[in-house]
Amino acid sequence: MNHNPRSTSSLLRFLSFLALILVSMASHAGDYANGESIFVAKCASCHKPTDEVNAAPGLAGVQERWKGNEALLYTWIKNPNAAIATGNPYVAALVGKWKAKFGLMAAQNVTDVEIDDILTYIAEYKPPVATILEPTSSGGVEVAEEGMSWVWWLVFAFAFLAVIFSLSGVKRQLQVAQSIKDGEEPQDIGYFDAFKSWAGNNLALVNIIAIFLTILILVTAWDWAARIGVYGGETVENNYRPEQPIKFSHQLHAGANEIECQYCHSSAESSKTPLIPSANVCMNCHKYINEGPVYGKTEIAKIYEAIGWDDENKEYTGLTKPIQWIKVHDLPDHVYFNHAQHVKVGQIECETCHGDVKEMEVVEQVNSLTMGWCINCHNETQVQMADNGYYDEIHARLKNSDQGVELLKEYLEDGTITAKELGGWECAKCHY
Amino acid sequence: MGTEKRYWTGMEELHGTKEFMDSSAKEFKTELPVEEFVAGAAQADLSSGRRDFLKFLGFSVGAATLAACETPVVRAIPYVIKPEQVTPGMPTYYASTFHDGFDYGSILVKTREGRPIYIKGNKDHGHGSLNARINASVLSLYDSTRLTGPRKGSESTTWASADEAIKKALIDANAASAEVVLLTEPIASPSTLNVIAELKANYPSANISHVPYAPVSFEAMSQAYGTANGTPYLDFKSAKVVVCVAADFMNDFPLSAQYTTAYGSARKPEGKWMSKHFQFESIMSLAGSNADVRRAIKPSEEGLVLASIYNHITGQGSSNATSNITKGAAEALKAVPGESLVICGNNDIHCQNIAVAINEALGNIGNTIQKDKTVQLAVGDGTAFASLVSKMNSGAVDVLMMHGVNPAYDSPMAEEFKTGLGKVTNSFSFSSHADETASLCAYIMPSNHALESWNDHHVVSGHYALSQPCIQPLYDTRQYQGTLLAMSAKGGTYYDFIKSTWAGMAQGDATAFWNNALHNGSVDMGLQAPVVAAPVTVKSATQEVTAAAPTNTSGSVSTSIAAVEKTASSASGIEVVLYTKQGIGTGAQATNPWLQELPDPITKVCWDNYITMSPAQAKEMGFTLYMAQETPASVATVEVNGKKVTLPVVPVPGQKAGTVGIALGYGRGANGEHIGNAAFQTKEYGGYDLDDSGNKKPIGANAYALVAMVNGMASYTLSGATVTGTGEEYAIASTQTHHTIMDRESVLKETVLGTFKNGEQNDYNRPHTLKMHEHHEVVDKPIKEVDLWDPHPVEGIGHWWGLSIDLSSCLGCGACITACHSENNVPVVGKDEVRRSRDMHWLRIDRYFTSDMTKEKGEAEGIGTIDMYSKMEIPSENPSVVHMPMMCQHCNHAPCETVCPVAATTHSSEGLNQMTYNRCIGTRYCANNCPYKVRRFNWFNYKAYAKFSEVNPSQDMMGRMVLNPDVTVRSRGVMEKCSMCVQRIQAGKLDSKIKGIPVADGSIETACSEACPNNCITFGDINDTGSKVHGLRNDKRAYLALEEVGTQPSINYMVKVRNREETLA
Repeated sequence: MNHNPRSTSSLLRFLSFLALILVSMASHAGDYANGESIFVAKCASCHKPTDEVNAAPGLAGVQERWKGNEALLYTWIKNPNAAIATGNPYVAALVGKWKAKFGLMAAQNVTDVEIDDILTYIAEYKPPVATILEPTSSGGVEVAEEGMSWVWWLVFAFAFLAVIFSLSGVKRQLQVAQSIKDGEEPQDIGYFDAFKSWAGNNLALVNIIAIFLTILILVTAWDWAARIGVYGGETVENNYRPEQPIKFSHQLHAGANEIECQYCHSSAESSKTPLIPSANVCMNCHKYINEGPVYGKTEIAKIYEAIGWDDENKEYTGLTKPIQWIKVHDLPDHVYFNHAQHVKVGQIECETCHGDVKEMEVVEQVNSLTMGWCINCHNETQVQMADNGYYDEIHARLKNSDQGVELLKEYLEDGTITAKELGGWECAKCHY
Repeated sequence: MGTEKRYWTGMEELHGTKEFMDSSAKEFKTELPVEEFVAGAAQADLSSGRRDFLKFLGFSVGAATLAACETPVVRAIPYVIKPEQVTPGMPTYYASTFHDGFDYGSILVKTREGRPIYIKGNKDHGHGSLNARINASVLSLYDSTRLTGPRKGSESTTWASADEAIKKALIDANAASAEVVLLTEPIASPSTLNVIAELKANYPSANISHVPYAPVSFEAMSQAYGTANGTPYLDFKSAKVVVCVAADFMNDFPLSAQYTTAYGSARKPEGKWMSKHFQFESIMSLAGSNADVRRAIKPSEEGLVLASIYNHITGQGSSNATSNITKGAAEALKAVPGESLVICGNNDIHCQNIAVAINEALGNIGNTIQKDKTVQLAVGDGTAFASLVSKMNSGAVDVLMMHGVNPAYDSPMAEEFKTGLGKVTNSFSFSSHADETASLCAYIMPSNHALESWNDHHVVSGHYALSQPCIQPLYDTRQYQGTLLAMSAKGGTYYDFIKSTWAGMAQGDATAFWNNALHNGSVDMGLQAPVVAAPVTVKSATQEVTAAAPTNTSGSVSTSIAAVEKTASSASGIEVVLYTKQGIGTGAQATNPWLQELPDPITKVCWDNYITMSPAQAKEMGFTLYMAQETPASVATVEVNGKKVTLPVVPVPGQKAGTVGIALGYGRGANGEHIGNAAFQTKEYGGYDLDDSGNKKPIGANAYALVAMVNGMASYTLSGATVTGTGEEYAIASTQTHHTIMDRESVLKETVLGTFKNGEQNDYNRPHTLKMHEHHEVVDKPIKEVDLWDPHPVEGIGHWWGLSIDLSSCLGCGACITACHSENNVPVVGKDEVRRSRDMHWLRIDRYFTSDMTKEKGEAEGIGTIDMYSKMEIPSENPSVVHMPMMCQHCNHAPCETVCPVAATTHSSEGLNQMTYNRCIGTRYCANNCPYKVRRFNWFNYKAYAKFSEVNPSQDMMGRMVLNPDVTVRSRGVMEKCSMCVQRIQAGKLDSKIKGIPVADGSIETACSEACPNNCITFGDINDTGSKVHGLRNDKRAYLALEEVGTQPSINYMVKVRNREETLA
C-alpha cells in the first residue's frame, strides 16, 4: 500500500484536537466530552453545533446571541413555554422567526450543569475527523496473480512439446542417416505418421490417456456448467457485489447503528417480498441527518434528489425520481420464494441466507441460491411447530391413522421433523 | 349403472363419420408443426431439413450457454413514497360494482402493486354472482386500443378545447332553446341522474332530454308489469315451478347471474323440494339445456304456448295447437299457486301481457314476482329512441351527447341514425373507443374504464351500490359525469358529488355510512329507502307516458291472445331467433380475447357467430352436418324483410325445425373502426385477414341489422325468412368433437328425482367393481382395492386438497373458464389454433347430448347389436344435455406421472398432481397417457410469436399488466394443466401458519370454485373431516370419473338429478 499523506494529516489533526480538549478542560467549567454525548443524544436530531440550519437553527454562537439573558437561556432549554411567558423580546423574536417552520422545541430534561457542558461543546465545537475507510478490495479488481500460474503451465507445455518435437526430429534424422548408411532408400515419415506408429505400438497407454482426458474434459465441463448463473457461494471466486446507485452501507446502518433489518425491510414477515424501502422511509431519519461519516453529503443528497427534498429550505419539491437499485439476490422467475414463510413461520434469521450483512459495506451474494442450496436447507431445517395451531392440526392428523403413525416414526428417526418431511422437497411448493 | 343412456360429444361422434373416427384414434390430430418450429416466421425457407435443424439446435444451445455466462443486471425499483395500503407481494381487494346497462354484479377487485388483475364476486355483500363477461372485464381495462385522450374528429385535441366546444354548444343551445339529447345506456345511478338534473338546471331554456337506450331491451316486460325503467324482481328461490317461454334467464336476461344462483339454490336434490323447470323455446339456450322438460317450438308459437297455459289455468278459452305440449307445465303450475314463475323472454307486449295474466291468475305477483322491487337493467326506451332518430334526421337536434351506447352498430335503425348524426350540429361521444358511433361524432371525450371510475348504482330497488376506482386512469381520460358536472353550475368532482348524494340517504353518521358502504361495496336500504335521485324528471316525455301505461286487464288479455293467435297464423317461411351468447353478450366486449375464446355452452364454438339450425333441416338443405377440423361448415344467407346476413351453418340438436338462430354482438368494426385487436379475423400465420377493399374482416356478421321494430319495440324474433346456401365453405373452431370419451358410461351419471329420493345408491350410483379370483372364488372387488402401485400417503395425512363438482348444479355458463384464464395466465391461442385442437383452457366444460336408444332398450326390443348401435346414431330431436366441467383430476395414481421421462410431473403429499414447467422437456407422453385429456401443450411461445399478436393480450405492454405475478407465464415446449390453483393453496396455508391456526374450511378457494355462480364446484381439504368437500366426497351421489381406470382422482363428481317423472333406466 502506498504511503497515504492523509493519514499523517489526520494524525496531526487528532493531536491538535487532543491538545485543544486539554486546554479547554483547564479553562472552562463545562465538560466538552460530556457535552458532546448529551448533545448527540438530545439535541442533534434537530440542531447542529455549527451555524447550519437543520430542523432548527444552528447553535454556533448561541451564548453571544443570548448575552444578557443567560439565565433565561437555561429556562428556555428546560421549559420553552415558561421562557416565552416572561415576554422577553429576544425569545419572542426567536419564536417568531422559527416556530412556523419547525414548531416549538420540546422541553428538555437536563440539569444546569449539563447545559453548561452542552454550551461548552458548542463553543469549542470541532468537526469530527472523518474516519477514512480504505476501500476493501472488491471482487472485480483482483490482481491477476493466480492468472500467472496458467501462463507458466502454457510455457512449460510449449517447452515440453518443443523438446518432444526436437527429440523426435533428431531421432528421424538419425534414422535417415542410418538408412543412408545401410544403403537403403531413406524414408522420411511425417510427425503425424510417426505419432501414429508410436500410438500403434503403445495402445494401452494411449487408451488410458484418452480415457483420462475424456473424463477430465467432462468433469471440467460439468463443473463449469454447474456454475452458470451462480453468482455467489463457495463455488464462485467472487461473489456478486454490484455497485449500487447510492453507496448505502449496511455496515453503518445495520451494524454500527444497530437498526433492525425489518425497520426498512418491513414486509419480510408478512409478504412474499421483504420490501426495498421506499425513499420516504429513508427520510424518517435523513430529514435530519444530512451528512454521513464516509461520503459526507453526496450520497444522502441522492436520496433527497429521489424523493424531491430541498434540504436548503427543508421542504418537498414534489419532483420525484425513483432510485434504481441493483438487485443482488435474484431468483429466476419460475421460482416462488416467500419471505413471510421463512422469516415469520420458519423463524429463519436473515443472515442464514443473506450472510453477515451487518458487516457489509457493499452487499454481496454470499450463498449460491441454487436449487441444491435450497433443498439442502429444506432437508436439514427443523420445522418450527411450537405454539402454532396449524402444525398442531397436522400433527394431530398424523397421529390419527396407522399410516400416519408410521410416517411420524419415520420422521422422528433423527429426532426432528424437517421441512422436507412435510413436503418441502415437492416441486409445487416453489414452482407454479 | 342407474343410467344406460349413451352420450355423444357431437354430431360427429353420433354418426361416426370417417374423419371423426380417424381423428379420434389420434392423440394430437394434426401433423407436428416441425417446420413452423424451425423456420419461425420465415415461411419462405421451409427447405430446412434435419441437418439444419441440428445446426440451429447446436447454435441455440451454444448461444444460450454463452449468454448465461454474463451476470445479468436486474434492477429493483421501489416506490419513492410507498402508498400505505400497498404491500408489494400482497394483494389488495377493493369492493366495487360492475354495471354496463346489461350486466350487473357486486365485485371484489384484486389488485397487485396497484394493478387490478382479477375480479371475483362479492358474495358477502350485494349481488355477488358473476358471469363470464363480468369476470373478463378486467382485461378490457388494459385494452391498448382505447383512446388515449380527447379527439376532435380523427385528430387528437386537448381537454380544454373539447370542454370549450361542449360548453359553447350548450350555451348556444340554451340561447336558442334548442334540443339537447343525452343518449346513454339504461342508467340506474342516482348520482348520474342528479348530474343530468344539474345540467338541465344550468341550461333551463335548452330542451335537455335523456334517452336510455338498450341494444337488447326488455321493454315489453317492463311495460306489461308496469315497472317503470325496469323489470320486476323474480324470486327463483321460492319458485317450485319455473316455466320459461323463450326466456334464457341464465344468460340473455337482466340480472341473469343472480337469478342463476337463486334458481340453483332451489334445485338441490337433497332439499325439501326441488323446483321443476319447463322450457319452451326454439333454439337450444343455456336455460333450455338445463330444463327438466324442454319443448321445441317456433317463435311464432310462443304466444300460443302462453295462451294455452293461461286458458288451462283459468279454465277459460279454448285449447290451441300447443295445448298438448303445455298441459304438463300448466298442471304443475296449478299445483303450486303463488309459488311458481312464468317468464317470457320475448320483447313482445302481447306475449308479456299474457305472462303477466298467468302470474296474476296463479297469485305469483306479490309472492315470487315483486313489482315494487324492480331491476333497472336492459330496459331501453325504443319509442324515445325512434323519435330521437327522426328528430335528428329533421335537423331538430342541436346537441347530442352519448355514453355507453353504440347505435350506429347495434340499432335496428342504424342507417337512419347515421344519416341523422350527420345532421346534428354538435355531437359528442364519451366512448372509450373510436367505435362505430363515436368515430362519426365531432368530438370524442373518452370516459374512464369502470375500474378507473367512481359511480353509484340503484339497480335492484333498495340496494344501493358503489363503484370505486382501483387504479389511476391509464390514459388521459375523464369520467363523463365529471365532464357533465363541469358543464353544470355545480362543478367539483364526481366523487364529491356522489358523496353528497349519499349523505342525503345516510341514516345516522354520514361519514360512517359512506365508509361502510364503500368498504362493503353496497348497502341494503330496504324498499323504503329515501329517494335521492331525480329519475323521472330527466326522462323524455315519451318515456313518462310509456312508464305510466296501464297494465293488463282481462280485456287486454283477450286482445293479446287474439294478437298472438294472429302472429301464429300469419307466420310463414323460416323463423329467425336473435339471441346473445354467453361470451360476447351484446357485443360491448367483443374485442375481449378471453370472451372470444370462451366456447359457447351449447355449440362449443369460439371466435365466431353462425346460424344454428336443426340437424334434420340442415340435412334437408344439403348443408354439412358434421364439422371437424378438416371439414368446414357450409355457408348460408338468411334473408328476412329484405335484409341479409351470410354466416356458416352449425346444426344444433334440440333446435326446432323451421327455425334458425343467430347470435347478436358480432361483426364489430366492419368499417375498420379501431375497436380493439381481437374482433377481427386473423390469417393462419398471423396478421389480419383483409377484404377486397383493404379493411379488416370482422368476426361474424352483425345480426342487429335484422332486428325489427314492432309496436315501437325491438323484436328479436322474425318470420318469413329464407335460407339459401351460398355454396361456400367456412372453417369453424370448436372445442368439442375432439377429446372423445366414446361410450364410457362411467364418465357421467344421471338420474331422476324419484329414483334418487326413493331408490338405493345402487340404483343411480353403483360403484365400479372388478371381478377377481380370491380363494378359488370369483368376487367383486371395489376398484380402489385393486392396485398395481403402492398408494400415495394422502388419505388422513396432512392435507388432501380436492374438488367436488355437482353435475346437478353445473349449468355450463363458463364463468369458471374466464376466471381460470385470469387467475392462471392461461394463454389465448386464437381461432386457427383452437381449430387444430390446441386450445389451452385448463378447465373445459364438456357438453354431452343424449341419444334415445339405449343398450337396455335395444336388448328389450330384441334387435341386434349392429342395429342397436346404428339406431343410436339417429339424433334425438330434443336431447337432454349434461354440462360437465373437466380439468386435471389430480389422480393419486396418475398415469401421466409414471410416463414422464424427466419427472416433470410428480405427486405431492397433499394430493396434487404437480406440473413443473422448468423441468418439462415436452415429450407429451403425459398428455398421451391422460385418460381425461386435460393436459395442454405449449406449441408456441404465445406471448411473443407473431401469429398470436392479434389475439394474445400478453403481447402488448398494457395487456401484460393483467398477468398474475404469482403464476409462471409458460413458454414454448412445455406441458401445462390445472394446478388446482396451487398458488392460492400455498398462500392460504401460509396465512394460517402466520396466524397459527388450522386452515379453515372455505378460507381457500380455487378460481373456478369462487367464480361459479351456482356453487357447483366446492374446494377444500378432504382430510379435514369437518369440511364441506369431505362431506360431499362421501355423499351417496359422489362418484369418480372413469373410476374403473383406477386413477383415484382427488376430484369427485356428484350424480346429476333431473326433476322429471320418466325413469331413464
